[in-house]
Amino acid sequence: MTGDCRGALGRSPGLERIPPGRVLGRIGLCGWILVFLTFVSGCFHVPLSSNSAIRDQCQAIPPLEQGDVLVVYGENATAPEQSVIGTYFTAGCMAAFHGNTIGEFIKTILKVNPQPGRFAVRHLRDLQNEGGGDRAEADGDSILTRLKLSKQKVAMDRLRYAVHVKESFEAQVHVPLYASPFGIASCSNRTILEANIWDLPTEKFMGSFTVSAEGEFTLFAYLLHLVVFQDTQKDATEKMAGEIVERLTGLKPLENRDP
Amino acid sequence: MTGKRKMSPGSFSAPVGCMLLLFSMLLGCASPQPTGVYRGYSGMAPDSALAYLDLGAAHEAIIDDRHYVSRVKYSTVQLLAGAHRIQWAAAFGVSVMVEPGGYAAFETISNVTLEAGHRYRLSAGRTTGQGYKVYLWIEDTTTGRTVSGDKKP
Repeated sequence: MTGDCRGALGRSPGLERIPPGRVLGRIGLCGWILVFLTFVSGCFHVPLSSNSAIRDQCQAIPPLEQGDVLVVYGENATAPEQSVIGTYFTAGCMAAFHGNTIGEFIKTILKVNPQPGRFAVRHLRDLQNEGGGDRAEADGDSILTRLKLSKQKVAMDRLRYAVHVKESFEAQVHVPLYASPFGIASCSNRTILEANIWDLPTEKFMGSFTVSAEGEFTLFAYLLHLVVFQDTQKDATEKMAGEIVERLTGLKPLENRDP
Repeated sequence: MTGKRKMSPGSFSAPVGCMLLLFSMLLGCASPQPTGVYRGYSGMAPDSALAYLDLGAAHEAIIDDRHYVSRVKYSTVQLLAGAHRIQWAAAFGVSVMVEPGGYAAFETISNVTLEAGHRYRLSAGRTTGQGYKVYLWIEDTTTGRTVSGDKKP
């Protein structure tokens, strides 16, 4: 092909002939492309409820009275380990993990309590930090000895029930095919919360609840990152808190609508 | 017909595209400010026996281990004057170089004695950069005194 392009580039004669309507059309096209890019460059979360189940092995529990205190303590699950490379190709889906389930459990009990102020929820650690009398009178292997609480403190502070929560969390990689900003990643995760309840004044074991929640973290990315996430830790905590409130107050718990 | 310009589909495309872009940008941070007042006591109490706690910088607070108050719904808590245990948390947007999540939340427990008729505010501030310092304090806005924590210098 022969010819001189300099003239065409220098004078751009074609551009002069574009009517105003077409210029507007091109600006419009640019606008639409920008709109599209604005949408696709983000991350869109679709939260879904986990599949949860509860196993109730608790006997009838007398309801908490005005001014009573519920003592909560326990162990948070440890975060699942994953290599840096594994984290990259799974878009960190195993790391969708909260490390403070016990703290969130205490908050959630207060959030869903239909009679705010009726009872208090305290972490055992705070009570132990306050001190509180002679522990010698408690039996060797009693719940009070294990919690390092005295009978006087239980009576004085109106500590009614103790709830021990044990969390276990498992995650499994299904599809590690993500390379930013494209691909698919998927992990399943499962949370089990086990709560054991003691009546502190009588030092009697009242029974246990077990809540299990299973879900999937799935990410589809083609510039736009679409994350479909079932937060099993949050769902199990809410379910357990609702069950505890219902059993210990005899009232229907509120829905937790806060983010 | 004279005096009337023929509008092509492209003529509409530009303003509509621009408006959508502007709208999608404006959507980002739009959120209503809560104005609710949480009643943190039971029974009846005269106004003269009450103190007011503005949540201010706190996004949530637990009062006396009994009441959970979220900033999403409430801006102020009405309490009986006297001693209270206030567990509260404030969050800051920080650089992803400092915190990978882009934000950091800090929690504290303040044991305070509130005076009737006074208004208090939960306040938070921080310095910037690596090793930043966080300040959480409660200010009596009626007297201007700091009643708990260290005020940001």
